[in-house]
Amino acid sequence: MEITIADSQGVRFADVSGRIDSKTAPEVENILRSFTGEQEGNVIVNCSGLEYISSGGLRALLIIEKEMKGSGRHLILCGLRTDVEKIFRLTGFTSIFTIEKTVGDAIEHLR
Amino acid sequence: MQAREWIRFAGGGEFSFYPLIRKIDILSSNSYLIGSEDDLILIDPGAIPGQADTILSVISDLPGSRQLTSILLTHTHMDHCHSLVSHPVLSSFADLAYSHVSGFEALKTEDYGVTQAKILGKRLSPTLIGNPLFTGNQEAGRYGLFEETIPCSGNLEITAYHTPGHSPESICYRIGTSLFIGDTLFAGSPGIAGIIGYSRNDLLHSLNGLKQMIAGENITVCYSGHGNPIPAVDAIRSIDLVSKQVEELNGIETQTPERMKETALFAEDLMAEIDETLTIISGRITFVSHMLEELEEGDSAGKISSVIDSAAVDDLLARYNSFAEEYRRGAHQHILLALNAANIAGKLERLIDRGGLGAVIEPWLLDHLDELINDYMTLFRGFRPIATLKDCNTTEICRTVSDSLDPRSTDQVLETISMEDFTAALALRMGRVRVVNEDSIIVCAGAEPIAAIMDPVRFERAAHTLITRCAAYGADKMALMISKTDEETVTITISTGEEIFEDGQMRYLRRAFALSGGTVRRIDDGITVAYPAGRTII
Repeated sequence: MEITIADSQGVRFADVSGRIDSKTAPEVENILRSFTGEQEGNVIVNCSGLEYISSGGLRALLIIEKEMKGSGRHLILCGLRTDVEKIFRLTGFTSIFTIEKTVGDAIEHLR
Repeated sequence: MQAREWIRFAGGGEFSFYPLIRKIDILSSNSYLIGSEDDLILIDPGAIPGQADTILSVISDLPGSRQLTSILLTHTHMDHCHSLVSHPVLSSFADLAYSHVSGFEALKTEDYGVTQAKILGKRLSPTLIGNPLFTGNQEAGRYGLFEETIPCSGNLEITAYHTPGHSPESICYRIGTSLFIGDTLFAGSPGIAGIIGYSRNDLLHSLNGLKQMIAGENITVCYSGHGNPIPAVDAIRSIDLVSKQVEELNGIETQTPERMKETALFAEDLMAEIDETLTIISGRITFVSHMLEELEEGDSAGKISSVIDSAAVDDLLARYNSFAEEYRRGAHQHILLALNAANIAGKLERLIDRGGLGAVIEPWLLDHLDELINDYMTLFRGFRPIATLKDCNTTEICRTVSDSLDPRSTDQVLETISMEDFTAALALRMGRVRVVNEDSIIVCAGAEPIAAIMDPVRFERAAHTLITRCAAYGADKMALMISKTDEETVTITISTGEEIFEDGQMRYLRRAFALSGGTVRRIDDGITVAYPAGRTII
């Protein structure tokens, strides 16, 4: 699993790739928390390189979303591969998160 | 387990008999109770706590405060005797138990290999069998097998025959004209032949001796460690077949590469399906718990999230996936992947509390998970997963599938009265995440019902899985089309309206539909399954 974070033109991005499972979920949670906690604003999570997510990975994203929600902010997920999006749909998580098709759609959503 | 009762023992004498016969699987063996005026014998306590509880309950229901007088172990593989090692009550009867002396040593020294405890994921603790058999320098009897008499108080006469091969400590017990044969008839199967303790030469010798003994002692029925009783005439045929299988395995002390490769491929596809199914189940539990928290139902949310140890499930899946990744890079042999998958599947199975999960998760999803684990364990153990074929009304079955996936199907939320019932019904409703849109499935069939010979339960689960996953991929125009192509064949086509790619899940689904008794053909947007036409409509 790799996660990179960036600020670009006032928009905050986290790029997640590889597998989020029980081994890597705590790292994802910690990095996202340090990133999302630093400043105001929503965070776009680009999942186009995400190959697999376990229930622990779903929980990690949910924990960050709940922490952000307290201050009226959200994670915006985008670029989900079909098999990862399938898991979000089958678990009901599509009703918890804002999910956009592409990074461009996610930026558009912020505007 | 089927409901059972005391019956007259078929082996002769005025004995009563209480067989606990289970479906064939790797989880536990059959158990048998035999009672005379003075003795109460248990053959193989099995491995499931509920089975041991049933045995104890059957005994406590007997008049006159009867107690077990002996426990006979056909061998010390954990599916036959883990309850003797671990059950809080049965383990206290270890001093009454009989096994071959090498089984005595295996249990005493916690031998995870010979007992198959490692493969079966069972924990051992040092157990002292009270009565090790074949400790002296016996001579072989007239059938070429070592014999020893089990002492009984009354008129029961039990003879133990040492029949090594499946394991070094295998024993068959004869009572009158009945013979208890443990796993003898499974000894040559792939996944069984080659396990630790297996000996081809010993097995061939034992099978030959058993065949002579069945004829010489006028045996009428053989009671196997797994499955139903077998008339002696059929047992002899089976022994011939096992002997042939074993002879063909000449020189192989481990599994054949082809068989292990097949098992490993099956393991990969089934474990991927188990992974996804458990992720869905765990994810839905997290989802429902979160939603209840949002509704300020913190207590209920806490209870729901505790019905599954998601972290432990995730951890086991991550361990398997990590091992499978190494296997795909060529770091492990097929047999190791098969063993690893069996080990992980066994542990996952023990983490699943159907009762608790049933408060949130749809029964079919839990049945699907059971079937996946059981099918893998069945194949790994050397059997083939079984289809229960019957004459079915295909129209009715397809409508059942369609109706159960319709988001408008009724629930009980509005019918509940108490707040507690309301919250429970709400959790159940939220756990049934609907991914299939209204009116997105149609069933196309003629006016007359069409009968086919199939396993309806396997078909329904496979169809559920295919349709639900395709809906989650975005399909919203799906059809179940039934036609009688000729007098002999009925086809059911599941068309999803979207191109489906061949991947591990499709390989799994092809097998799943084939196991429902059909011949499977892929089409671009779905699957066509051809079944033999049925003769009657139920």
